[in-house]
Amino acid sequence: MSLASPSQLIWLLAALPIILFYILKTRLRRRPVSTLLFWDQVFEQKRQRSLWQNLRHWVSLLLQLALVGLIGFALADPLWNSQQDSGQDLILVVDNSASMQAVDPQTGQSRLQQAIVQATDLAGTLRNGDNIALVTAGNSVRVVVGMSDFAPTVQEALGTITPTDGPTRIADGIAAARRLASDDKKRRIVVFSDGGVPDRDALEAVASSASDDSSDELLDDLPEDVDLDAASTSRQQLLGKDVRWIQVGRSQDNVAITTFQVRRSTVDPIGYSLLVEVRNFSDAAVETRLTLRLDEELVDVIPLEIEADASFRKQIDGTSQAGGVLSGEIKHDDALIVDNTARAILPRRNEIPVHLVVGDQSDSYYMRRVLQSIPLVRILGDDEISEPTTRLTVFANHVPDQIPDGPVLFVDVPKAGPAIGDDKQPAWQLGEAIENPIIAKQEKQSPLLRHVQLQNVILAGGRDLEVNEALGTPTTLLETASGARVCVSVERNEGRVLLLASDLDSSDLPLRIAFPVLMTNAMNWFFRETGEIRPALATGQTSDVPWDIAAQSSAASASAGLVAPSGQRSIVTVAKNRARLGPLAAVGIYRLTTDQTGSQTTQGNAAETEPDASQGADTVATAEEDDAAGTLIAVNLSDANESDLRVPQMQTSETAALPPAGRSPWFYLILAATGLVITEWALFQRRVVA
Amino acid sequence: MFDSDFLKQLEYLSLLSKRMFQGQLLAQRRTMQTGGGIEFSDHREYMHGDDLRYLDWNVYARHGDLLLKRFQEEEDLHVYLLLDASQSMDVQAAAGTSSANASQDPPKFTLARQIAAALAYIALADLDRVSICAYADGIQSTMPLIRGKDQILSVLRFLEGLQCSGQRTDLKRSVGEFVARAPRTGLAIVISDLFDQDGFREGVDRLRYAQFEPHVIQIHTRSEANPDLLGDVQLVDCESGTEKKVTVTERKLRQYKQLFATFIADIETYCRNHGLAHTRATTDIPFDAVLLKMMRAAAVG
Repeated sequence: MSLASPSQLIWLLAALPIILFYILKTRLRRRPVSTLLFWDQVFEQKRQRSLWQNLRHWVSLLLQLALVGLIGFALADPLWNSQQDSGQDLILVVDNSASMQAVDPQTGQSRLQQAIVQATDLAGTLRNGDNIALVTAGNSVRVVVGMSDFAPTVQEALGTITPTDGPTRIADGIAAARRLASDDKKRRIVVFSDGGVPDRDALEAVASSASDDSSDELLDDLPEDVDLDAASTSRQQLLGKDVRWIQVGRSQDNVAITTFQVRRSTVDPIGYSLLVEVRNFSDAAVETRLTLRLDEELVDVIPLEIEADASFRKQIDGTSQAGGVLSGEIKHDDALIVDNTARAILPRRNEIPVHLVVGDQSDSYYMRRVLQSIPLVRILGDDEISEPTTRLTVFANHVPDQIPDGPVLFVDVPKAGPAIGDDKQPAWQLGEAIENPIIAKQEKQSPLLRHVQLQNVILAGGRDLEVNEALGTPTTLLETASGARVCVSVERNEGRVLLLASDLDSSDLPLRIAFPVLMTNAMNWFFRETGEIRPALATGQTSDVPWDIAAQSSAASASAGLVAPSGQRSIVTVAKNRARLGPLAAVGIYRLTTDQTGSQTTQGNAAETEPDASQGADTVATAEEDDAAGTLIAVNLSDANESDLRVPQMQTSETAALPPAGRSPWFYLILAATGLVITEWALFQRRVVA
Repeated sequence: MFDSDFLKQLEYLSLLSKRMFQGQLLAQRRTMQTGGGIEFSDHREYMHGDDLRYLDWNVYARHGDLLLKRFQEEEDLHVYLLLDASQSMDVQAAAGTSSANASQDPPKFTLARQIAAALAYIALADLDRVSICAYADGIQSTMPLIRGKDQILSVLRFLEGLQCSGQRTDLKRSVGEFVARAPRTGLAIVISDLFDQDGFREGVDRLRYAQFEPHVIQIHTRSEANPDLLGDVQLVDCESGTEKKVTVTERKLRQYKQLFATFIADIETYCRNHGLAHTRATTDIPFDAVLLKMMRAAAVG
């Protein structure tokens, strides 16, 4: 401990007059009494020796000298060991990740609350010439308060830190803190975290030998499965000379859903397959049960018995055509709630009505069989054609006089398209017949040709298709060696159009596996993949979500709204039919919507359009009919590292250099001096005032 | 101090004393000596050489016994009032206490003089001889023996003229001087706070040895019995001027009160053991109440 103003110690000289006055103190109350007979017996005759007998109240004198000493010492402004460097740049890195939401059952406080309290105390020790900044390292690294010399701003900002459901990003936070303060000598980073970093094994090993500067010994201590380079990097990132850890929270048991994903069933066209993993992060076996619900309807209850540090994994198959929000919940009362529930979105699997129009010269046997083989496709009968429904119209070897609205598939195009537009130009021009139309070029990016390989395949009957721009935006999918465009997709406002100039009856295309795949892709493309199962996302991840909305506009990218579970809206960018989502901070159901007015609505209005669990099925049902209603995205924690509430054993010396309390030493000195004044006052009252 | 009301109270006390003691108090006590009195006492057998004038011829005529009549001789009593006039008797009660009531109490010397005046009046009214000696470290002033109720005014003037003086209290020396001067023995009433540095017992013993009949009236203030001093004080002995710097705590105060209670108990024990009359009074009690208390004690005794 050192002194900031040692010259102020001169005030200690005030002790001298106090001693002098004590010795010379003569003002006593004189009381004449009739006799001293009894007083002499009470105060057994002790020889009163000159001036020194006035020092009989040595306790009072000592108290007053201690008072002067404390005040003088306080004026000298002593510093904690951690404060000795004047003009330091103090950066507080507060972990507000999901694990910091764990509540300590003894104190009733979450780890984040404890961290904020300690950080507020530490901010109170800021001295003149010091700078302070605040960085949160939860779902995303955020500089809450930049470098400032005004501690109350940071203390106020600390109160506004909210917990996130994202993973810990302490290393990024420390890196950001280092960027904030470039001077290594002045920089002092204090991390408030539970130590739940992704590579906590390395952290524990590093921390256990942090006091030893020998890196060789350090690396020897590491577990074998820890990559040495990675551990060294972690050490550089997490523990440096300028980093001090203040560990909050204590180890607690937890059971969490760490995986919850659905995919399309391999056997059932409308079925799904759920992979769920529940892990037990404790040293004792637990018994619990996993409840699966689909839009509040109970699907299954699975009793679980999980050994210590073990996990339960199971694939569950189910069928749901209506779709909805599939949620899994563990009935277990533990410290962290956010990982007890996980969700996944099951899309509504609507039937695809198809109106097959066959030309006179073809029976289109293969086309009919292929359509019948695609799940959910229903070929409309003659009596159903008049019903106004959203349907796919397939023209096989036939060209109508007018292209109907809605998605249209032309197979084996016999002639040029019908006249469209004001200038009555045909929708497409049909080229001459090609002798051996071998596919030489294939559009790889198109979703229509996903898992389809048609290069070097002879597409019998293939002819060049030159699509009129007035019909829509054409995209050539298949091109022969001679440059003939034999398969073209057209983006049209009234509905997508796919043209395939191939004679199915004479070519071998229907016999290839690629053909039904191509047709299935076409069904999804026509209906904008509304039936696809989207994987659940994890918090803190940046991901591109397929979202087929931008085709309506000519722009390469468009903006759309993202409604968080809390009802808060934000703008997301959609490019190439993929919505780019930043790190999502909260678990729950997000909704992508093209409703641009939503971005300007208030929180209350947003809440009205927010889908909740009870309305999930309805929302899905309407989503297909109206894209503006939104596309649901499930976000789960799914982070075993965050769910593991067992804190690593940090070495106590890492925190030893920190101030032992929240305020500067002078504050405690003055506090002690005040206590002495009160004590001396009590003694004085007893002794003199009586 | 001695106004007309005081004199009325004295007269009332005098009448009361005659009624209560029926001639047993002070000078009305008869000696057991037979002699020139007029009041018949009893008979005794005639012995050869007795004066035939006192032979009870009526008894001889009726029974034939020679009995001699005896008469009780009256004797006027000498009452000596030994009044403590040391400076300790003049300490104001307020000096030792902060109590409002205590501050209104008269000094011990005032009460002592009032008691002395009352006793002198009662004695004079009973035709006894009264002498007053004021003492401190020796006899300070003396009022010679007087007799007759009309002398009460001179008694009061003498008492009013007394001043407290002296560096210490010495009853033993004062009694020595008194005994040497006293013409006869009699009732010696000591009115004092008994704060005698050398102990009052030797003085009282000396009175007893000189055939005086001592009567002790002890006066103290309430603040002397229950001082409420606390904290740092400089105690000054009003007689010797000795200073003592002390810190009075609750514990010390309890010790003082215990010592004072022991002091009073010792005096009472001493007086009881030696058959002495003892009266204790505090300055908040009026002098007539003290006198009545004395009379009741004497009547019961």
